[in-house]
Amino acid sequence: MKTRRPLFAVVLSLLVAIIGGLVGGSSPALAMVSIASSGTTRILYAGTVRGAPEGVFLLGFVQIDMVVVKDPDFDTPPTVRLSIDFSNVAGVGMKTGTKYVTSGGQELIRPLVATDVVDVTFAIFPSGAGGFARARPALASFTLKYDVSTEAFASGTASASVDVTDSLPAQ
Amino acid sequence: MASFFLSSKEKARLREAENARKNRAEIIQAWSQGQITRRDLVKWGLITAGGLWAPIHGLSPFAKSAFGTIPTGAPPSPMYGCQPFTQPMYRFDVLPRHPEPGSLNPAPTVQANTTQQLLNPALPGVNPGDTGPIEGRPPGPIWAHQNFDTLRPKIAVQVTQEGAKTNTTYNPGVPSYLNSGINPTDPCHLYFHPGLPIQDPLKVWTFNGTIPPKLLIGRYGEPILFRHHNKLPYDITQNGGFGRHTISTHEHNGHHGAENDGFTGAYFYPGQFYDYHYPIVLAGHKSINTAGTDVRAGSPADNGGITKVPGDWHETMSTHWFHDHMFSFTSQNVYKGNAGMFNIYSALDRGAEDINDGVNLRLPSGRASVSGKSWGNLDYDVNLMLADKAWDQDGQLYFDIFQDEGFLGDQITVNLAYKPYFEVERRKYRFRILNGAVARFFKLALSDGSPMIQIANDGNLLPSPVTLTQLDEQGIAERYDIVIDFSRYSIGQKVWMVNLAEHLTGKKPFTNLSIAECLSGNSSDPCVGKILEFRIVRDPAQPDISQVPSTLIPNPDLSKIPVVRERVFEFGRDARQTSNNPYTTGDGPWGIATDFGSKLAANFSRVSAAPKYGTREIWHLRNDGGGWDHPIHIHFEECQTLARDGKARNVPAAERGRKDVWRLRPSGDVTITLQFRDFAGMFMEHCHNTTHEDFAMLLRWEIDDKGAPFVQPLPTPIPRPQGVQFQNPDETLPTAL
Repeated sequence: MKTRRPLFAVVLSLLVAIIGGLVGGSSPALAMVSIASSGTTRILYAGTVRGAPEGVFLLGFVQIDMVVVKDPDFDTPPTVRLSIDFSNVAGVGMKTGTKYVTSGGQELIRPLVATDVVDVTFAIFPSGAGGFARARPALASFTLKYDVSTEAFASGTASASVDVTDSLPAQ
Repeated sequence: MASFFLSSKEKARLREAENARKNRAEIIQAWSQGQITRRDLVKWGLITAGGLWAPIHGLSPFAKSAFGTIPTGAPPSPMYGCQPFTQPMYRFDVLPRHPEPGSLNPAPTVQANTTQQLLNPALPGVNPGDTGPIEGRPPGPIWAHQNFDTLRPKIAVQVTQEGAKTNTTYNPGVPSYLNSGINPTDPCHLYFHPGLPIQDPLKVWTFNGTIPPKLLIGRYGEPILFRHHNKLPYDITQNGGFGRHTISTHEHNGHHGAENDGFTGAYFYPGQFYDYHYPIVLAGHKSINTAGTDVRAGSPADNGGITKVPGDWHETMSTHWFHDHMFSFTSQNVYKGNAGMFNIYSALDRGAEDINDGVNLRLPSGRASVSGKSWGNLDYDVNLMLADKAWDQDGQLYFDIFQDEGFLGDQITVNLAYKPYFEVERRKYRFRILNGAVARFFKLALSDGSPMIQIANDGNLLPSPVTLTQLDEQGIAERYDIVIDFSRYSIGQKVWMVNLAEHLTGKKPFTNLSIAECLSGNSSDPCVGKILEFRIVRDPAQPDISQVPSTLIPNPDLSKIPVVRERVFEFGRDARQTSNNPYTTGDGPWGIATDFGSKLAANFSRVSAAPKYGTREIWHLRNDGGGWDHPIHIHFEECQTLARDGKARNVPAAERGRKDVWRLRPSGDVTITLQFRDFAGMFMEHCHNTTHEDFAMLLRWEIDDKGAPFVQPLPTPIPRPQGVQFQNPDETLPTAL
């Protein structure tokens, strides 16, 4: 007989795993002249991906490593290298209790601005063998604030995921 | 841009931009035709001692940008009313294969064929009555085909390099219904869209002079003799304003002797051919599984079985490409059309999804039971070559070498077609995506954010598939193989491949947009947004039985192979030249510092590294600036990426297989490890932003201690129509050996 775990139990187990995953250091600055600053932040991320075959509740800390790099050759505006790691985000199917995992991360280049809203999609899929072939898209929106004068990261927040297939129809 | 919407002031600015483009084009033409040198440009004050184009109105890319448009700096390419997604995408044109021996006349020879022929006096430096060798390969034992007796060619493929003409022999390798309904017997005219002008033979130089781009098909254990005939104009000035009529063809990234690698200084002239011997062997074939007993190290047999071959099956490769590597002219020649792709089939990657023998990974391709082909089915295995182009006010291909930071076009082509559509069935497809641009990076996604499964990187199947909704940035020359499952869509739906990487200049992507941002139409870069339309047209005739296994090809275990030394290569600007050798030196702002030495501009007669045969090393590749990115390519042997910015965890999942091109990222560094085995000779390492490469970001390294005929250091070839001469190297860096 197929059994379902209560949703709160699954969420609790996710939280335990996530908090356990928080233990760790931050990335050191690179010793290169064109790097203005670097750092790491972890942003709590929670939300629901809707749509077929079931809604998926996602929860976890997204780790964002950022490196602000300058252009000493031509003094063009600084660039931010972002490495967004979703691997500590996990999910649970709201009907079946199926555990969902993510496919890792995204590497992005963005110009340095005081407030940067970064929308990034990522894949979620059932854990276990062959689950990757049943992947679905999720969307995360991060608001990253920088102190432009010091070319350093200031703070970041994340908004809930939405069902990308609803918001961006094929046609 | 419709000109009637422009104000008179804007029209005047566009006229100025067009005039500036013509001014630059005249100088470019003179430079490309050898009438002036880069040193002349310095002397005349057109470029500064630091290598920058002087900010002279109409000359400098920085000055001209005020009058032109992003990203070309010239007026927008005229579209003649053509709309995107109104032409079908032509699949690659499969090159004919012929059994060898028996096909080639003259028969291929171990050493270069020096039979003399009367030379055309239009060639540079040729007097009436002069003769020269029919083959442009450097003569003698050092440039002889290595292991030719044990790896005799079984297949011959002949191609030409020539000016644009109509293709009347198109072979897509698939039925018309799998090629968007294209009738292959219809002539393929050389245009980027049926509504755009046919290209002039001097403007576009492709393989066989035709489009679509060419696809070479090969399999392990079946060596190919690739005879490349140079049929470009004898007169160096007949180049349509850019491009050089001497060529050297690099099979990227073949594991073979340096004589077949398209060394930048081993170019050949119009009227000559060059025999490239592609043995298609597994790396390590002289030291691992030498008896060929492991069934995973194999080649697809015609009967559906496996022919076992020596070597390490973990080194199996799948997706290569081939392109020009002419010293200082690679960007122009590749842009003109000197680029094709090469699918390699193996026991693991059979190209026949219905062969279930426990070895075949059964990736999307097609059924042997339907086609009768036990390998190499292309039905659902599609090559895509992405490249940005620009054309002048006459609709002819346009290029601007004044962009020493990297030339960008303002129109996207897929398989040399402007924004085409491609009809697909509701099933899984494999796409082998090549970034064939000069300086543009791509970052690809589907317009609805649907997941794609990346299975290979730079031609190497990954240890495990990686599911992504956005691929990583894809630098020039990188190949990403992905699987898209169209069964999630309904018949009649459309979905688009979109580009998220926005450029303002050729330095690097300015930003990576979100899908919504790239579809908004707000970007100043015309090459972001939709680039290829997929039309879901029907259900497949047979059920989709293809697979994407959770394990593909694990990395070779190098833990027992000691690292004999580490080297550091730093890539940046303000390089200096240490030689006045007129034949072998390049000038330009770019260069490479080796092992903390000076940053040096390219000289293919300088040996920067000479690793010992049979060893393994660790190489550190560093970008010394934050305003640039460099896709660095190392020839010959696939490498494993150990770390990015000093940490293994910074290596993205899709880079955890083997690779041969790495985007360093701005101020980033990459640590890799590689071996030097099986073959020897002189190879290269360079930036594959080919503008950077041509402006001197290239070095020579060599394996020269394999034993006779190799000597240390190797003599440098200096090609001439009358025959290749050799010089002693100008310099061997003190840390090279």
